Amino acid sequence: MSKQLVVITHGNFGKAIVESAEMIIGKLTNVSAYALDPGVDPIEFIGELRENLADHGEETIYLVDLYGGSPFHAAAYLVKSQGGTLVVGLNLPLLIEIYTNLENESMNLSEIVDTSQKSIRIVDGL
Amino acid sequence: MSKFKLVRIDFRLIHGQVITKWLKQCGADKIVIIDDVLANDEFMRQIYTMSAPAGIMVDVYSVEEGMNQWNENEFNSSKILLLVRDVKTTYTLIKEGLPIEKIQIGGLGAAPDRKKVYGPISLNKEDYDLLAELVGSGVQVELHQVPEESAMQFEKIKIKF
Repeated sequence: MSKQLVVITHGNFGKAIVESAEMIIGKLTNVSAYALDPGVDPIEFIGELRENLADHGEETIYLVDLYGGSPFHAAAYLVKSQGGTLVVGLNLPLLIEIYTNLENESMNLSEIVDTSQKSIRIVDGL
Repeated sequence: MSKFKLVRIDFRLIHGQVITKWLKQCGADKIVIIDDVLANDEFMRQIYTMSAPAGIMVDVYSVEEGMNQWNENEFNSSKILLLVRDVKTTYTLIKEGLPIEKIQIGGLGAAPDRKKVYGPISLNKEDYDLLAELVGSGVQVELHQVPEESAMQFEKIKIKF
């Protein structure tokens, strides 16, 4: 199975950011997005994800919005139980950078994360 | 003065609202989760233990372990955010002697036998009765999901039951 990207967020942020990325780099394949809706039991949410992502293993990268949130717990559970990598701090440059390198055999995820962190900055000289 | 900066009933335990808002707001340096389900699931216990920001300890105990720990060293902190999944467990902890003076109900999910009482927070009759008994014995109970909204005192939801 080729590499997969799974985006999990509070509400529709994940689904929307995938659409935003598509405005910039075109249709994304091998990417799925899951929304944790308000009031949903985190344990039920994990159950739902396990069903939908049962075929996802080591090759999956999970991108979530917030450290310690329920989407984070769900992704941590999946990585612990079926393998994969968890990245927290979802933003558009990060999503695009990871996606663009998804098929690159020598992708260095920690380098991508470092680079993407530099995308958050105050713009000087205006 | 209470060792608990905040005692919160929330079926999600540690989650976004707690990490981003309540933890800073209440000034706790340690999160204690007392929950039999989580304490007995080593897998989930590890995940929750690592989910607080740097510098904040997380301990997960079953009710029995929690009471033992309390009696031994009062959780080794005087700035505790205590998280409990449901009303019944909180009631048990108080009856076992945990000195809780004030309870914040922050999240209780919907189910067929439960009535929404404040925003998405729901209670069933059993929860209501247990809380009413605690209020009668001097515990302050309020419903409060996020700091930006105002808290609702338990007394104001009587009309729903």
